[in-house]
Amino acid sequence: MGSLWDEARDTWDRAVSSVDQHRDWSRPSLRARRLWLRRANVPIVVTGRPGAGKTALFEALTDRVSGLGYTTRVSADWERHRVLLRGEATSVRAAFLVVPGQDSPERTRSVARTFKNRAAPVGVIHVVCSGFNELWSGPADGALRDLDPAPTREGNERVRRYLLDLEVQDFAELGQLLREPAVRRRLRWLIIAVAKIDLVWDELGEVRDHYIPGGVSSPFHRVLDGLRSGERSLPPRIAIVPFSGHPEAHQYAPGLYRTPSRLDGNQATALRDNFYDVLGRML
Amino acid sequence: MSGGPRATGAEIERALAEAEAVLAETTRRRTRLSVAASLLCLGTAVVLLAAVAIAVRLPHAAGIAIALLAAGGALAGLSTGLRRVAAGRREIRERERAMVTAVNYVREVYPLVAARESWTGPDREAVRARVARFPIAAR
Repeated sequence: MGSLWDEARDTWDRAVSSVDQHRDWSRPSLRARRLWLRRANVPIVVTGRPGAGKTALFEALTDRVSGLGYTTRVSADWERHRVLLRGEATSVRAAFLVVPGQDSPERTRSVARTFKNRAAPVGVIHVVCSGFNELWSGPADGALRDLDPAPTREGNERVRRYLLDLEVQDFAELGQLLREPAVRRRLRWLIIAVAKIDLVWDELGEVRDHYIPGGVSSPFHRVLDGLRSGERSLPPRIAIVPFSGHPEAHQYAPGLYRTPSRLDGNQATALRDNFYDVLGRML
Repeated sequence: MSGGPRATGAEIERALAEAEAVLAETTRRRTRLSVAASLLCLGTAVVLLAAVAIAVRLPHAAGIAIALLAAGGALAGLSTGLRRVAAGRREIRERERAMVTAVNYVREVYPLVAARESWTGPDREAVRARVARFPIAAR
């Protein structure tokens, strides 16, 4: 059973090394194209906290992010997209559903629709971001006003640690949903996309150890281990991969510490192509 | 950051209660406006059909004049009514926008307050369930 996490670490390490080996002429093993008319028959759900980068990940995968000038936005409702995923040996019509992160009627409705009936997903992409969430209310954000961080790296870390805690709670809630009978019957794979990895590229080892069991214990591992033991709620295949949809500096609000991006567009493309490889193996 | 005083459970309770009152009122008003808009359309359709019937049954100048007057009056009424409905909806949206801002603040801050004030699990879940009744954005 331990080999599951060894394998997950290998997949992570391959993704990291793909950044150094990337060449401009490299082609991803999978291409994604939006479908407008044809029916999609493979339901894939994208989950994660508000501002984690769910929409950005989806848009990067379907080439709607051009790198520069991408504006992040809050999704006021669930998002549904039909996408043709085509590789050398694969051609899948996927129905993506991006579940809003905020506790809201929109989230309740989309969770009920996807996790609690026959339309349960075949795959789940859960987006985490090492606590670098986009705070949609900016300086008016409740947590930010309450934490009142200094405009220093240390101040930033306080906010980030708080958001990391919420990320773990959110993942634990996803774990509850994965225990739903309909999901356990149908779910084949889970990809945990560690988005905005460009912001923590200089502490990759710690980020990997936070998300993938096998090193120093973390609250995230405890949720994963809880899912793996007992009711076997983890799907047969799982991957935890770094991702960067559109590398750019991050700031919780104007005037606060600015975390620089440490990757360029080409390197982010390498990570996206690697994500395609992983997704292609899951399909 | 201008942090100001830290949020408290009492403030969260007050903000949520106010927002719930606004949500109940806006939901009620929205329903009333929808019913009013439907009735307006239905009433106009009935008057237009009646006008056509009059014009067919009384195909002389007086009949046609009555039909035209009725149709014109109905369309003018519909236009005025729909403008009022739209204005009502705009007003509701404004109120909802303020409500959503207040609820977003609660959404963002309550986990911190819950930890600071050592809320019990059920208390925390109760606040979360109340917050989950509010839309992400004004409709």
